[in-house]
Amino acid sequence: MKSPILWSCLLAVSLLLGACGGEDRSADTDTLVVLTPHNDAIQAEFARAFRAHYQATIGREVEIDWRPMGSREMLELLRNSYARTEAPGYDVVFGGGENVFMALAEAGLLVPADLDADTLAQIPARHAGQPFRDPQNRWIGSAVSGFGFLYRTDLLEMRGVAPPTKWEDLGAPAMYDMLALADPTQSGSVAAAYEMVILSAPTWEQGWAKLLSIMGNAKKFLDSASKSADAPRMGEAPVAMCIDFYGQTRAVANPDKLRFAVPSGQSAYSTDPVGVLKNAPGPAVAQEFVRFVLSPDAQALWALPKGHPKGPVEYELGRQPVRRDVYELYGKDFLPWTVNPYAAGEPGAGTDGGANMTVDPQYRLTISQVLGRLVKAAAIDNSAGLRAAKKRVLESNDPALLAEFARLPDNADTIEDLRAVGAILTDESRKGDADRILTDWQRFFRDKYASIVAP
Amino acid sequence: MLLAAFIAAFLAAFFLAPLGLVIGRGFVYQDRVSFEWFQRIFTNEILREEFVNTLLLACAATGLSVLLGVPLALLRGRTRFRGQSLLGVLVLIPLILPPFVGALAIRQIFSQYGVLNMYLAHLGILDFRAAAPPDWLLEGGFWGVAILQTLHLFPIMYLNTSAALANIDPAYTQAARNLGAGPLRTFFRITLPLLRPGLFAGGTIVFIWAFTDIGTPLMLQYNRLIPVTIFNELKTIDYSGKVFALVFVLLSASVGLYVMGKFVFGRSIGAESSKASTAAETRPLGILGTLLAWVGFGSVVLIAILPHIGVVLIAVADEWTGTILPEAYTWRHLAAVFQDQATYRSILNSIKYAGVATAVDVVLGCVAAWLIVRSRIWGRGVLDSLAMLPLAVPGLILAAGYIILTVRGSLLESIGPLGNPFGILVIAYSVRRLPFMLRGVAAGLQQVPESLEEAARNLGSRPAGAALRITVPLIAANIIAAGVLTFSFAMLEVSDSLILAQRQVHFPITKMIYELFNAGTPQAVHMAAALGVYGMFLLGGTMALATLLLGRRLGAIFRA
Repeated sequence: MKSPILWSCLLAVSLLLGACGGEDRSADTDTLVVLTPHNDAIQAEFARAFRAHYQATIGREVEIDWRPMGSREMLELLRNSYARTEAPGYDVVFGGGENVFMALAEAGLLVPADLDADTLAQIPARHAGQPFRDPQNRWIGSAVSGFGFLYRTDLLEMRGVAPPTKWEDLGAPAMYDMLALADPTQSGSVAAAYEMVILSAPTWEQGWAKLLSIMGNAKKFLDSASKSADAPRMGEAPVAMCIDFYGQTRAVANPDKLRFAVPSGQSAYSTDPVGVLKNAPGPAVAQEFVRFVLSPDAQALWALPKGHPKGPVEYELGRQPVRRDVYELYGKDFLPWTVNPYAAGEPGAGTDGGANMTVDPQYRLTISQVLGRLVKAAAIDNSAGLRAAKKRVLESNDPALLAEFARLPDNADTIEDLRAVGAILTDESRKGDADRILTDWQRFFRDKYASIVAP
Repeated sequence: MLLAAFIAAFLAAFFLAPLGLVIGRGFVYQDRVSFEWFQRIFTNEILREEFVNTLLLACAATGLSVLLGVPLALLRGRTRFRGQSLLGVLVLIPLILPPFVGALAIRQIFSQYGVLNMYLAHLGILDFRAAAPPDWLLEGGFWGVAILQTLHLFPIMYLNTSAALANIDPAYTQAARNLGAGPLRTFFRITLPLLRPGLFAGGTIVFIWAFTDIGTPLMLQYNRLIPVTIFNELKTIDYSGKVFALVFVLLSASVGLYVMGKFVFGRSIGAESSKASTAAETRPLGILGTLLAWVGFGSVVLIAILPHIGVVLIAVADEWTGTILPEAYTWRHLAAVFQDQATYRSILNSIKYAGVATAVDVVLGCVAAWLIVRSRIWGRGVLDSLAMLPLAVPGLILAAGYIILTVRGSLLESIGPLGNPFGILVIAYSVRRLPFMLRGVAAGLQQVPESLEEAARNLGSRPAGAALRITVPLIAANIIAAGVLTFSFAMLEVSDSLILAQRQVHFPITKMIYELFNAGTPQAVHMAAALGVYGMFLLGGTMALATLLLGRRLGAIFRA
């Protein structure tokens, strides 16, 4: 890299290419860089509505520069980017589960949203223990979701297996080799669903045993939430665990064969928040976007059908808004499967309805900091061993073997240990240690499964 | 000389420099030069297992490609039967669909409760009530990935074998037969050794391709492979040394195997260089033979285009759950590709990136080929090796290098994935496809007598003028064919596109297809398939054009 020819050539080519690829941006168009795990349909509808809103209120054009990615990926990207520079050039984070936002807020990467009292009055700070917005408004929930399972009624009937109604049904012997699950380190909604399984048990150890038993029944672990939600439809596996609107939109498209259910009383409502990033290049546009997302008009977009005057134009989004008042304003026009999380008597209203389980948010945060990596080591990286061990446990029916199967690594078997490990895993300056913990866990589970299969 | 320096500088800046950066990063731990990351990689059982898987996968795909491609090439090159030319074209169809798109159809067809098992149940062969049906993609899908890669890549093996076969002087086989050797003995003692360089050339491309493919395993969700691990780490812009150390391990293995292969199989044999003096002896096949040849070719082609058929069906399916064929059909998704701003833009982006990359390659490739074949300048051998080297270095590894090259704060930040990746994608596509262009043009140059150019120079033309006015028109078919192929492969390039395009407005087709798979809406899968259908038509059209222009010489382009 010393030669002057080389450098001048490099510079010339890059300048040339920079010029060719340069963006034409007119002076009266604002830009907003939005990191999002939301799908293309949500991006298209919110971009369209926000452009119209911006033109009407500010009188200028606005263009959203979407950066689609998984929510875990987004968290990593932001941590890495801000570690390297003060202003990486992102404006807004839109969607991805409150755990991601809590981590971002804790890392000091979010600034408070500038919201009026009316908006805040419509969004409770907490619902069934679950925070719906940050006390300092650094993040605010924008859509509400429950978690459950999507299944093929025809296949379950043919295989003589009863449809699941509880998380533990997914871990039952009859469900062996029937599940399509996803990697929680790649998707926030998948991670949230796994957390619900843990939270539905009285203790961490019991929750883990329940989750591992479910994971042992998995045919495969897919790398995104949508791939696992598509698995029943494509015939890859009869049952998939997923977020409510992935399940509902698919079930509605083929009600004869697909059905979605929320395990009664075993899932809490969780939000997909929105927040403004520190040192955003366009702070004013960013704040306007957040205000817009939380306005009644934008909130109605989540649940109204296509063709409704206030509804989406191209795609039905099929999600639950976070604002209370839009359920009163538009509730009667909402898509039929929309559940009002605030309705009286809603908690545990049955397999198709309410999902209220009361959650200790601190406990959930502790779990969420560790669970992804633990699942990766125990299941994703050791899937063959896990399946074989689970099979052996089912065949032997030996309680000692079952106990060994559920055994956790020493540094993760109590909630205090989890807290300590979580602190290391989320510390940017301790990447080497985090890597070693993960490697140790991989080895731990690998050896344990091997010893169960061939004692 | 200046031209040679320019090309060398281009390759040094955009090929050697990123490689050097990647290699360097792997050796840094906590700001010190260290083998720490390598030590961790080699003591990690999971990574070791992934490495073995990756190696086995590449071996399986290469072995299967040889088993499919070589017999077909022999059948076509050594016999005559009705419809031979048609089959020769049909067998190239698999090249027109990147296997990662085909994987979508493979999932729909070969899943445990997929189309095939539904059909077998319909025939009464399987009973879902009695027992769980077999899972054809097997546990984890190793063979699914290997088979899908094979079905895409065996035509490269076939083309190379065909080209090598055409170059064997029939005098050798005739001599062997005259001396009393039977057909089998002649094949194993004479033909096969003479085919070796051709087999090596094709085998190398297939091997390296399969060894570092991320698209197919990602789509089939067989993730226990080193390239997939690297891809997942790079996605998060995680620049820990570990990922680059992994890249280095992958690169060393791929280059090491290439060199080893070249040493063992690729040594040119004295006899091989002599061009065939007479046309090869071909044996006409009788009715039964023709029928068998058709069945042989036909069944391979049919199996190979199964993913293509599946992708077309998904693109036009309205609803396809738990039935052998879709329950209802619609044009909606095919139309939606052009109505949806994001998908439509991805097509325009791909045309833009691939178009400019092709232009760059045509210029660089022609100049380099001319320098290498015609000029007597010093170091042209080095230039040749340098320009061909991208074949041995997988896209994934180069992409990792470009990521470091354009990292925030660097000179080239603005053309990196987080800025406008136009420049970096054009560079990536053109560096990766330069060998195709170079080989295509060089093959043409070697067939045009230099005396024509010399005549022009004698009549007062400058060397450059003579090349442009005399030689270029004579090899126009080669340039166009290689250009067309370069363009279409750039259009459907996977690893660079997946890693280097991170803003939706800049997505090329392949990244858009990948994003749609993860989009979550029920219609997204159909949209992805619809985009794949347009990609197939595009690549199909360009392949047909290249075949028309080059005929059997097409094989020369796919050589290492």
